[in-house]
Amino acid sequence: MRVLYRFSYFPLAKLDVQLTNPLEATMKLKVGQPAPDFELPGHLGKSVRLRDLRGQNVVLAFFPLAWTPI
Amino acid sequence: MFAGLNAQVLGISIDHVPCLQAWADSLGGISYPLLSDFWPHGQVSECYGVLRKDGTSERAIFVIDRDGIIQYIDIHDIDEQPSNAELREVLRRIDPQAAASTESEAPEQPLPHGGIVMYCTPWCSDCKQARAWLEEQHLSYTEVNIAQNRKAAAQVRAWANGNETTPTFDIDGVIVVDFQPEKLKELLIR
Repeated sequence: MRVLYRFSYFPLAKLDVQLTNPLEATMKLKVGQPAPDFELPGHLGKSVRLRDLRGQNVVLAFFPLAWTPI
Repeated sequence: MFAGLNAQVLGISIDHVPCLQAWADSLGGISYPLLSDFWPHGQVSECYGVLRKDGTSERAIFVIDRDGIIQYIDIHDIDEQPSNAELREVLRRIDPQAAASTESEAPEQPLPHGGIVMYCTPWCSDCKQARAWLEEQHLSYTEVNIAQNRKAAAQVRAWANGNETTPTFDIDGVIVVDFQPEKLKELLIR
């Protein structure tokens, strides 16, 4: 229901590829922008800083909760 | 999930670290870091625009290139998993050369021995310090990335009480777990 509501917010004729995913259309970050740096503790015992991974491709995978599929 | 991708994978959720550890253990171990965005609660999720009103995050993927630029954003239905094939395609597009080199890599090589062998991961800050220290001392060494080498990861677990502690050193058969400059100095500089 929530999704339907979001779609109905835009006039149908103006829907284009950019807006097919309403969530992405309202994202704070966009493709082409620098990824904000962060440092967080991890389950392997050491903290990880995004900036330390400069020079490699990184896949950042947010997931809602442990015990759900990643 | 995420097997064989030519990229460093970082999982992030708002769980606390012991919860992530217990979950990873229940799955038989996860070789890439699961990061805890627990406190300040959801700060990184919020910054990336994926924190939900219920305090958890969306199921979302950001692919970041070598220069730290976001190349791909995918927000998934919270109950669906992202597709590995699609991610591989994205990585191939943003970095064709690197994708080709992983695919041709030999799978199981014997682990190196002799001299200084450092078992490490690309993301660990102690490994970074250890590299800088070794270079400062003008010592040459061989690096083994345990995030991409299952045999090496198992070897480190055998040495380090079941933990994948990085860096771990094999110095002509003497094992030093973790970055201990004093101990390394004793062994290497006389």
